[in-house]
Amino acid sequence: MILGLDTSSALTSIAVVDGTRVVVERRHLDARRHAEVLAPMLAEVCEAVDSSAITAIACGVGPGPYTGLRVGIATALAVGMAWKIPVHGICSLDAIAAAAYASEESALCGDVFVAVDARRSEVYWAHYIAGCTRVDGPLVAKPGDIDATLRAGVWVGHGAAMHADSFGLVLARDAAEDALGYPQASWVAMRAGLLLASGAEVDQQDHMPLDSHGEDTGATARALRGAALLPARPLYLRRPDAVAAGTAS
Amino acid sequence: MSARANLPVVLGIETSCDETGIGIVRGRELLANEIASSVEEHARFGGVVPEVASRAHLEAIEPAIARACTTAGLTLNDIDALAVTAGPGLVGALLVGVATAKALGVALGVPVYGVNHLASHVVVDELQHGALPDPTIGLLVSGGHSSLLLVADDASSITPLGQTLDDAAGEAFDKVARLLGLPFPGGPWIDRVAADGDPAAIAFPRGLNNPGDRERYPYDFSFSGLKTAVARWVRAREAAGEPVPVADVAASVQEAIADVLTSRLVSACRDKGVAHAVIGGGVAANSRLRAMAQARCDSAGIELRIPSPALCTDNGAMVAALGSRLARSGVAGSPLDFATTSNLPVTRSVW
Ligand SMILES: [Zn+2]
Repeated sequence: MILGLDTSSALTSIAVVDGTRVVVERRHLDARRHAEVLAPMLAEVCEAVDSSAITAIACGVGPGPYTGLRVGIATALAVGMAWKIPVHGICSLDAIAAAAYASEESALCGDVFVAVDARRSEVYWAHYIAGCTRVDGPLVAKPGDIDATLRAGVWVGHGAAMHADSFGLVLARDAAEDALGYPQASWVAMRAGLLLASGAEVDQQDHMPLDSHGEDTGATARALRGAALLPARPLYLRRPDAVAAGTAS
Repeated sequence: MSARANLPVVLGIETSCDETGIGIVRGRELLANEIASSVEEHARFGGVVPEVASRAHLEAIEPAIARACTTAGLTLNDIDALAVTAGPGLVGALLVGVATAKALGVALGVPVYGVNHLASHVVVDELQHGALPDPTIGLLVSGGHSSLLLVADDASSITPLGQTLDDAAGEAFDKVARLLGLPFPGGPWIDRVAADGDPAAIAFPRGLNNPGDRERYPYDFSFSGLKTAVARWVRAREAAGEPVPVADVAASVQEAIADVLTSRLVSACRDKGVAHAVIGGGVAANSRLRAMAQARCDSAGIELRIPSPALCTDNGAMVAALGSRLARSGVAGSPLDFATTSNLPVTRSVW
């Protein structure tokens, strides 16, 4: 069984999956309270399953708002350390794409685009082809700045729903329970389980080309091309805003 | 079974600012105190950049926990309780430590104490000088805070007596250092340079020192006027084409800051009838502050304790020390949904 979690969006979610069966899942939608709600949800999940049967942890590594994102990754790393089991990262947009390709929407057989809210009127987005293979992204952009021919395609993710005017066909809702809208822990865990079972390379290499002052100009997308199982490190696509604390005055 | 074996082993996590601190204590015995600092990454910004600090905490925390366990000769399964700084501090930075502590607590099945950073700066002295006398007044001085606190007998509550109205003492050192062309963080440089200067060379102002302010703000501090006075004094020298006597300016500034801090510490002890004081925070490493505080406390009959510098700056051992005290007093762990808090005043030691 695999323990999955994702805090890369306003949705905090945690789940245990056994193959494609969701054993238990908890969700909470609140952009500001990841750290308050995640630990009680983790305790509930541990109550519900025999935690000694959990063999790996899969964590959504974004991209997404950093403060919440770090809560999930720190939690995953700590549990992995306590239980001495591996912790894998999954691009959170991949979880939405995986849910989309598994859905019954007939429009979702070819190219699919995922967009989630990146604040500042921007979205984090990525481009997939059948088989849930990411061919470009994750990238960050204003919806209107994305190539018009791509925007005319099939889009999922709550970011696409929020900026529906900018995109051709939007098949996601801005709703916590919509796996095509928000990255869900169960899909993060199932995606990792599938990759591990198929013998995908467990990549321990650091795919993050950004150091802590780095600036992304598509370098993350290039470095991640073809990589599905990632280290449990945040996908920061922006450099930190360098305003020192306590310098007002 | 020996008495030692009955004492709880507590792992403490501190991520409120730019130090990732992991400490392990058994009772009042310090077993490990690992620190990873991101201070160098902040130097070029002249202050701590919250997002840079948060990123560095997430990178550093797991290796630091592993190192602390190795140093202590323990595994995570030997931990009886966790303690973590819940505030005050930078929220994004605090959350990395809090999420880690809560997850370890759930995964290991042990309680988690979300604790007050300021109270831990006082209680840490127990690791070095034995049980804290009751009650104790703490003077906390660092780049993030300047506070006077009354810590209750059992460390379960703290009463903030006063704090800085503007810059923290460490910030005042940083800003003056910048005016004098010295690197960040400024405190150690001012201390070093001041050794060759005359502390009486320039009479810089003591904040909140006129009778009205003293009555209204008996235990508070203000350092922004000092910074302005130094800037004006340096500029006047430069405008006149005269060299700036850096050592004299540093010594005089250090004298002004130490004077204000120690005089208010002594008056707080006198007014509250408390005979014990502890100084904590990074600025407690300042040599002039230590000497002046010792002299003034001696003549006022106050027993002063100052932990060694490694326990004064932000660290995990201080958090573990407070957690250990709570665990030994039978205090229950915090609820798992406790929040972080960025602001003063906080009167609780534990959430
Ligand atoms: Zn501190």
